[in-house]
Amino acid sequence: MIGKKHGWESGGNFALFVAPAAVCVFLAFYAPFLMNAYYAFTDWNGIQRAARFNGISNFVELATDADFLGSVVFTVKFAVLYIAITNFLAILVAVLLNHKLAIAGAVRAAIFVPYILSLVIVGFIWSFVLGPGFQSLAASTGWGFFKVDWLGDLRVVGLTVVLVSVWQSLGFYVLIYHAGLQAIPKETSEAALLDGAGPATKLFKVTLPMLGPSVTSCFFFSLAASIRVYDVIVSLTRGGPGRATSSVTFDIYTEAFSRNRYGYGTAKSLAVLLLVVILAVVQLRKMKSREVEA
Amino acid sequence: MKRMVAALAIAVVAAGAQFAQTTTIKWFANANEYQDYYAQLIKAFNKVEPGIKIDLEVTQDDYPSMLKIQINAGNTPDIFNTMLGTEVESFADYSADLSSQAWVGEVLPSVLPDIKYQGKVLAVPVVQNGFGIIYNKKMFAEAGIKSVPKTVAELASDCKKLKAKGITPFGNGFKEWWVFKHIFMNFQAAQSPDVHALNVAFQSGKAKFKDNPILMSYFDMIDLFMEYSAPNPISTDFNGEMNLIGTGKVAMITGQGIWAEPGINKIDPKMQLGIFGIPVNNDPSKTKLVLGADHGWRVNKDSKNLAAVQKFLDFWYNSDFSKTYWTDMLKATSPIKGTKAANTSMNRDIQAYSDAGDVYPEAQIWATDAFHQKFGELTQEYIIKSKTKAQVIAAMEAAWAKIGR
Repeated sequence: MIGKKHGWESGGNFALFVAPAAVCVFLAFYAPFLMNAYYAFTDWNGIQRAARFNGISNFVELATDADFLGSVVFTVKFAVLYIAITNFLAILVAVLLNHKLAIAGAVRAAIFVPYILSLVIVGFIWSFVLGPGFQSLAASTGWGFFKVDWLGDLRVVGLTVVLVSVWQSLGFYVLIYHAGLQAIPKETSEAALLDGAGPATKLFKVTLPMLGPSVTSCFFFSLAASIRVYDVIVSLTRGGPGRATSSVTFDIYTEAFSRNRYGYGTAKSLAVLLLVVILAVVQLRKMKSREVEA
Repeated sequence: MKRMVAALAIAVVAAGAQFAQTTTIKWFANANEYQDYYAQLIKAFNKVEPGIKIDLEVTQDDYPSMLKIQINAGNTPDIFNTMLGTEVESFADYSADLSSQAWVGEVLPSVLPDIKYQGKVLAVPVVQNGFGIIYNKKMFAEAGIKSVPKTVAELASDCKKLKAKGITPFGNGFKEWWVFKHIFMNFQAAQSPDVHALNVAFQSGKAKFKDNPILMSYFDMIDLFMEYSAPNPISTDFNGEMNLIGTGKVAMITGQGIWAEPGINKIDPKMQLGIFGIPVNNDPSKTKLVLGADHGWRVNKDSKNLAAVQKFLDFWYNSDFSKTYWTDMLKATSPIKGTKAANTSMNRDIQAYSDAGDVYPEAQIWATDAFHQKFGELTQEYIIKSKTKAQVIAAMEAAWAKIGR
């Protein structure tokens, strides 16, 4: 009886404390989301005042839209490469930094500085380096590497976008892995040492499994970042050449704001949302089950 | 105490009066290259009307999207840019009817149809633009080219002459989507005397490229530009193009027009530039220069400062100031009656085409920029061969019908 009353009371208190936050989140996030979802069923062009309801025809069109499928394929390719390269390099750098190098401070700063730059600025820096910068280097050295059109050649432009994104965000992931490494208790590695484990065995059998929680977070962050990839593309390639580097978010933006098809763009964003939810749930489940409890 | 109250009252009244006097007009413009001149215009206006403040914001990249975001956020600028022609209609919901304004009588008759929708004047022409191939006159002379090419064959042989002299013929800014629509305009106007009707036919989905041989030769011209191009055209933007010609690395730049001249002369003030119409085939009578008004100023219908905006427009378009604004400040072709050509090397070339009547209307204003962005993207795909020519043409026809209006 007492317990029940207590439960009701704390429930009331709970609601009281949560309500302001819940209302704010609803107004700032869910309400626009629901309003947005409404436009997915209209042919609104984003300019005129009236929107006309057109049922599910946006979604029917979406199923056969080669441009949209192309941007999904690009985003998937980008995600795979970006997640793999970032996490590999970040673990590598973090492990090296953990070995008390003399220049660790300088390396840490060098790797972290790009992360605090805006991606738009990063894009402009790199479009200068890869454009006029490489052209004058090509003229003075004659090396083929500098003659490649890194932003215009269909075969390499995707890789360029991935590498610039990795360059920009590596510091963030190094930070997480580095913190994860610091949190591994000394006793574990000492015990491994006593049991006769060499450096390689120690890395693969002790350090990496103990890094589980950091790996989960970093995979999740890098997945989220690659699904959202937009600003670096706008400032570096504008989705081109042609549509070669149009990501899903870039495609949605062009559809809604450049092609004046706001309703259809919204339908695309709903479809992407669905994909993201499925991906996130699957990934979190898989990775959680693999972690080792410290 | 009494004195303090009185002082306070005076202060309040004074502050109120101050408030009543200053109106702020929000002006959102594209075209970076004119930014300095707009600032000078505001300064000149404020000498006459110190009470009206003008808050100018200029952006070039992605202007249409930024504008739409502001409009959707209920934050429509008092004065903003759109294209003329089709976009006069798309933004009609937001545009004040300017038909009764005094300056309307000053606008050139050839420009009037481009700023009207359903008989009402809904836009103010920004400037007249000449479009074509910009060239370095000195380099042409060095290569022994006596007059500008009038046919595709002549253009190709001139390229060979330049190359033989070790000069790269073309700088192409093919990263920009709008460069392609500028090139395509010549082909549209050469194909049909009524570019509006041509666009309507494609927008209705009935017309096809294959029935329009001159439109098809657009792709041959792109091939020619690529054959004689400076390196990495696909990743070169407008600034890159101006740099190429301004620093003497190329003899010509493509898809540009009169607005590029001040920028190039900033790099090399002594460079003598010229402009010629893009030849579309081997018939010299088909080679003309595209000249027209493409951008318009729009006045927000719901603006609280309509009276102030009207004063500003009147100063701008119908005063002593307007006699020299285009010709001496912008160094551009005026959309207003009774002004001479600006005294620059390229403007003189444009005036010569205009005097001879060898001008084409601006076809681009009869299709949306939404379509032109797709058109640029598809031409890029044609260049990098990620699509075949047939696929590109089919996709262009589809886009023209779907998002062309």
